[in-house]
Amino acid sequence: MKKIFYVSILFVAILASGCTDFLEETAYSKFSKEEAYSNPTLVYVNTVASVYTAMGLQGCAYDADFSAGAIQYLSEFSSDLNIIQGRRSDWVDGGQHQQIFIHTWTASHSSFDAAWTYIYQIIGLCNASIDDLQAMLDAGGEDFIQLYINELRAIRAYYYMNALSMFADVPVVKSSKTTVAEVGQSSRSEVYAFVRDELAEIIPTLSDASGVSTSSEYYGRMNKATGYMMMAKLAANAAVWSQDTWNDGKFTGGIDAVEPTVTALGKKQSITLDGTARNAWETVIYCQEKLASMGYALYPDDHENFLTKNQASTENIFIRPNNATNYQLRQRLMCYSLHSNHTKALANAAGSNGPAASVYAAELFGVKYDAATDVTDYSEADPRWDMFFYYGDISVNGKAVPMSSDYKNTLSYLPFAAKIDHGSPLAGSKEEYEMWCAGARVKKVQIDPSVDQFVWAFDYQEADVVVYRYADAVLLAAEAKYRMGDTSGALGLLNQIRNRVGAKPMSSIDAKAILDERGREFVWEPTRRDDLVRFGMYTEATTDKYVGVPTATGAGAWTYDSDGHTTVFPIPTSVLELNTNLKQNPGY
Amino acid sequence: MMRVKILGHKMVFAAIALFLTGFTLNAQRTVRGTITDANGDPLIGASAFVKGNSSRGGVTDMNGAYSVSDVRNSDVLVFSYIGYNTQEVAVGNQSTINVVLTEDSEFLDEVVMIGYAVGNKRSVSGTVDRVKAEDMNSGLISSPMDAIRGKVPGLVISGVGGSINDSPTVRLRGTSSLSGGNDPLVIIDGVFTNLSALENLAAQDIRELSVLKDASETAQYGSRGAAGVIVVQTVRGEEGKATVNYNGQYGVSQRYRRIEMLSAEEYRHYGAGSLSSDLGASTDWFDWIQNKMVTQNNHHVSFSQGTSKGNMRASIGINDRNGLIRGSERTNYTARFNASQKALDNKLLIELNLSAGYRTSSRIPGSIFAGALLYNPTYPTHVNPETGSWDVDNNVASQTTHPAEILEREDKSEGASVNPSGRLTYTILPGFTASVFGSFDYHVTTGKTFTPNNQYNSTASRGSAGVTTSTMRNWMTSAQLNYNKEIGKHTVNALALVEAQEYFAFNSSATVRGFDTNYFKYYNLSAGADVKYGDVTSSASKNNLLSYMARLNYMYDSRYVVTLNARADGSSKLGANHKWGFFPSASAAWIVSNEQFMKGQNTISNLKLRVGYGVTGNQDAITALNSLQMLEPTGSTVYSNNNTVTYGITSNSNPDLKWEMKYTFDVGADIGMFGGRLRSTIDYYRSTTKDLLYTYSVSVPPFTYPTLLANMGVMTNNGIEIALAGDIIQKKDMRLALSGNMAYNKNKLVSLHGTYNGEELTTSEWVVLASAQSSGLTSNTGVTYMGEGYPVGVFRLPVWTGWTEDANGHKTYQLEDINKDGTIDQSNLGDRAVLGQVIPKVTANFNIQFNYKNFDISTQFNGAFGHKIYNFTANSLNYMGAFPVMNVMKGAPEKNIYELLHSDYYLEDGDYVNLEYITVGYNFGKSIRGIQNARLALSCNNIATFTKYSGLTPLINSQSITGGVDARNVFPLMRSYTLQLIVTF
Repeated sequence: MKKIFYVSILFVAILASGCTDFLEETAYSKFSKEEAYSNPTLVYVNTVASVYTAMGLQGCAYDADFSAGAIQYLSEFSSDLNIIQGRRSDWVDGGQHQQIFIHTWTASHSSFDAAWTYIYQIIGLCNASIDDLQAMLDAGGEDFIQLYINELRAIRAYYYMNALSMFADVPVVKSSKTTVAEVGQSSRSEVYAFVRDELAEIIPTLSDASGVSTSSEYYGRMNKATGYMMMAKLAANAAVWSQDTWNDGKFTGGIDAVEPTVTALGKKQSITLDGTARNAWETVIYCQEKLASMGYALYPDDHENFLTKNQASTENIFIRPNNATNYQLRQRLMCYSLHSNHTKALANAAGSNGPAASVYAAELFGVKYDAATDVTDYSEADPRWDMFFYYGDISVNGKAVPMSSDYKNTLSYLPFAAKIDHGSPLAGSKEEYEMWCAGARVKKVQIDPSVDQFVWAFDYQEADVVVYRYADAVLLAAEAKYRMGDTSGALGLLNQIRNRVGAKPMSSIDAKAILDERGREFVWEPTRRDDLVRFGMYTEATTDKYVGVPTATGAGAWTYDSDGHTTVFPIPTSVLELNTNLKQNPGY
Repeated sequence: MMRVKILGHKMVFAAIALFLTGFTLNAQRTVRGTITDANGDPLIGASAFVKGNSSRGGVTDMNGAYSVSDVRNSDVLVFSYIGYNTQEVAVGNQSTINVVLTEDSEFLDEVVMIGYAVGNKRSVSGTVDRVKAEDMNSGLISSPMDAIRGKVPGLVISGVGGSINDSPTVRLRGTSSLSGGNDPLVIIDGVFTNLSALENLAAQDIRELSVLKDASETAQYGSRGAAGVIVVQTVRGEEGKATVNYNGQYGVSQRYRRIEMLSAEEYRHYGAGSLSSDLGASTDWFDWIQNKMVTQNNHHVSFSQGTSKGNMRASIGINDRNGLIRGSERTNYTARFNASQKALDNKLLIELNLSAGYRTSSRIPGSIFAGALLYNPTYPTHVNPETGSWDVDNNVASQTTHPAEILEREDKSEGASVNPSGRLTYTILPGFTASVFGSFDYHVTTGKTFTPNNQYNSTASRGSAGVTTSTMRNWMTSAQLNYNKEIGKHTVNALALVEAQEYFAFNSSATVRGFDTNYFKYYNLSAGADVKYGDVTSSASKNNLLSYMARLNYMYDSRYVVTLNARADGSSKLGANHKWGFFPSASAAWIVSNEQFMKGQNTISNLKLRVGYGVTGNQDAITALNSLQMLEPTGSTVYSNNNTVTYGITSNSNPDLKWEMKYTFDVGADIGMFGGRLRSTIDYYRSTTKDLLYTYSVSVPPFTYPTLLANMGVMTNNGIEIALAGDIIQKKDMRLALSGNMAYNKNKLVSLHGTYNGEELTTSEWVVLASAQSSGLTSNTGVTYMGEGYPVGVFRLPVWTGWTEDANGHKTYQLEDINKDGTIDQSNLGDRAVLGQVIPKVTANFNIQFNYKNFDISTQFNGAFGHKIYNFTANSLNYMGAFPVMNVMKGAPEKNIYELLHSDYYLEDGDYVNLEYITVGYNFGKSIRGIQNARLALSCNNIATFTKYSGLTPLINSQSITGGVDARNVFPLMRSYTLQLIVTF
């Protein structure tokens, strides 16, 4: 028994020696915040730059799929200008794209969840970084940390502005320590006021450096100009975004019905910026003038704002850096849009024959079509039509792009054949040819065919992705002047835009002229939905959507939204399921 | 031949010499006789040898006859047979000794491995099932899973159709966790490992498997025992025997069911006028992607020997399989060496095991089926001679890949593993031993993928090639004290243990694109021009476990048994406040048949009642560093015009992560009747899993990311298991044994609430587990869900009430407005009804074994009942809306359905009975000279499936919580014909 005792004692000694270090974790392919914030460069990289990384294309362009680029997708394809047509079974996808176009969406549409999650993910990252930086500051950190915090607040404000536009009554979360119970919706006016005050407070602290030039330390970052541009956007839409009720019909019924309301509401809003209180329209004008005084100007060639080496543009304000080999952002709009025979001829790449211009867009650009003779007349088209669209007979390097069809053996994009759904036309028929070729295609957001094939392979482009440009500020200011009664000032700014592209200057101005000019200038850029809502046109029928327009199974039927609830998207079903504090927007 | 002859001469000479010397020295002679059982039937293969010298003696032949030569009067002969009481007979002057062996009632004193403990069947108070080598399945055995399928009640092994490269799902007593950790723990010769290691073991190397199901025994493994434990002991050399064994199988397999799509002629007929292209061929793609017939080869050679001082066994094996899908292959090489030796006056036992394996596989993705089914049948089965590439239908290309292009892609893997382990056991006093155990387990796997540059979807990227390497390096070491003592009527078996384990994994991968040639594949990645950020990565992780365990097993008078286990586990993966978990268990048994009042009756030979309760844990869903806020690369951006990698926290971290705990109560009985000819085991259990680990969807905001791994919710499993076995006929030349088992399990998700940072957190009322989508169906894709109060994995679908027909006769679904709000909402919380469960409620197995003289025939039926299958294959392939861009099933044009959505219209009964195999064998016995035994057997596997399910096979993966959906990716079952030869020298 003694032996048993001694051996057991020895055993217990072995047990006791099991050191506690053994259960400590060792990190190999990750590291702690202490390491990640160990010098000023790393502090910037891992608090601010990491948010830019997560932004990607910030939902402003077309990423790997539409849901990842949901902000632009929802803005452009719910508008009157761009359309994803059902071509037999191609691009029908259960009717989801057509639902967006004819506003028959439900709260479970995947793009709402994608947009919401994306927006709040970036906001969450901003909050976490701000909290970490604030802790450093509180512990005696250096002054530059405050600049980082301000930059992050600017990014956060940008995303709250998107949430305000799309979902209206959204939670305002400002700290990473927030609990689920604390997350409740603010009213739209409160969210608006939050963004307004944030911008007003931080704009003076943001950097004056260029955000576009690659030689600038602020290349691709939010700077003071971006701050003024955001404020111009906010102020221009303040009349809509400051309203807690939007489903009472005041934003529907067309331009003439809505214009006085919006003009008046904007005048009522007071925004204090750089120490002076102005109404919303005055603020827009002030921001545009501020940008002009900072050296921003219309770039001589409008299209070059979007092409390779657009870092030289004096017009672009905020961009997402893009480079086929280093900081790659995937921009698929062009690959998605063009017919595969076209992309094959351009760069032996795949095309998806998807997004195209609507018939209304062709009309807006002044393209004429005679149904009796089936002749399309481009002679009076706005110069930007040719800058931004592929249309008519398509040839690459002088060779017509072939098309395997009994009807016609070369590819020709047909702007006036566009329609929401083509059904299943007979093989070899004219209708079948039209189905594949309907709609003018994307040329504006271009992938430069002269660069390496590699660029196409990943849909990366050398051109930086434009988020904000000065032309937008100019047209917003034109609108603000018009609404403030300064028609000649408005006309002057409008004609700056027209003169730059060689379009015939206008001699008079009205609200419709401003909206139409915005349509021609900013097509494919994510601004159309806000513009249409502000002008009372978002809910209206167009050439392409009207009562009885044929659609695919699952898409639903277009009906007129007379109360205007569709000017705000529904809170995604998945969000409501997970946070029972939140309530669905009215009308859904 | 020459050498054998010389050897033969030598042996004859030696025998004569021996005979002569024996004759002159002593009255040595040969003793003969028969060994029979109580009924007078011969016992075949029973052994008779001289006590103290096991090399002198032999085994009985077909007639139960034995002979032992060179026997002295003073010798004692020992007669033994598995399952019978050993008998010793003093020879004296007898030259014929006939013995009758009596059955050891229920093998009660057989040694049983119960995890760390060694006991005997009498003293077990928990639930332990055993499958011994001789009880394993016959038929085509590609892995131990095939060998034990259907043998243990409550152990379900569920494959995915006929895929050879997808591992089966193995569940013991159902699903008790929502994330990782439903796989039973596997222990092979003391080494902690997993199901894939078991799958890669040669079945012929297994002597016995013990399956620990209830917590009173699995609590020995504490945090890792929640899903049950399979303890494997490999074959070792036996004292007094030197054998060489060859076991070979050769099989051919073919498909036996198919999905009928429109033929090219029908396709043209129905698509007339709307065909986008017709290349003039008539292709049956479903047929074309499959081989007409494939072969399997399975060869295994082992040799072993043993003396009273030690033993050894060495084996090598190869298992080579070809799948029905062209290009799918799997080859597994195994080698194992076991040796043990005694030293220091037999007080020290040294055991060494070494296993090594090498595997290669070539995998074809399940998406090939969708491609083959949907593809235009007018396209030819050869590449376009002009372009050198496959003709691809532009209309379908973005949604479905050409099946031939999928076949041309490569996804290969090769893996090697080596696992040395050893144990030293020192007997300090009789019954008191101390042992130390150490194991090192090393795995390396290399994956190679390649997509040619002329495939439709890769022309722009110009092909891609990738290589991945992962290595795993696991250490474990333990020290253990055992105390076994019988004092009068008291039997005590106690042990104490400390154990430490370390798991280290290192992974790397590289992908390149931009090839102008397909020559290099993945053999020279620098032949590809394009590498971008994120294409080259590596990662490493480590986690440790430290455990203390004690166990006491006490038996009084072979009537009352109590077992107590206590284990504490510390895991590095858990947060600082939750590192340690405590896992106790207790069980008791009453061996009623040993009571005085049971004497004097002959019906019940054994009756044991058992009851047990225990706690086990699970932490498998947690990965290293999960509880910490750590940053990792998130991508690259620009800073001061330099390309810069940024780091961030890429998931919601949860410092409160803790052990998932499972509390199990089990009551059962073991019954033996009529001298053990009828045997039954019945168990009832209830288990409750608390603090379920699951990656929940959480609200954004306040969370940054939409998912969070957290401890939320409670799940219960209640069930009954019954096993019944009977030796119906037990005659000299004829034996018929029937056995069957049935397991019923009722699963319920009681709660899905939890707390995070002290805050009450709820997830969605219905959480999607499995969804099915295809082009044309991209929203409202949920099919199976989990929700409080229901089993995990229920079908929750819109309810079909009829068809709506338009002017063209096109049909669309009419769905029930379940909440009567006037609109049909197909979303997760909308108009959907719970319509059945994914996981079968009842599984049952039935075996028949019949022997007549040297012939034997055995067969097995497996069945599963009480579950449904969603036939998304039929749902999507009957959709006319995408026709003729995508082909449809035969009959679809007549059905004329022009809408694609989920509804109960395609929910089908999943019940089935599968006739797993029939094997007919012949044993040659010693009738061939120089051979101890030879056996030839012919098997047919997957003979028939009896089911109402209309799809390819109901044997889809219905055991996984994300299973239950037949989504046109299930490989058809293979019917195999196998010839087996076993020779023992």
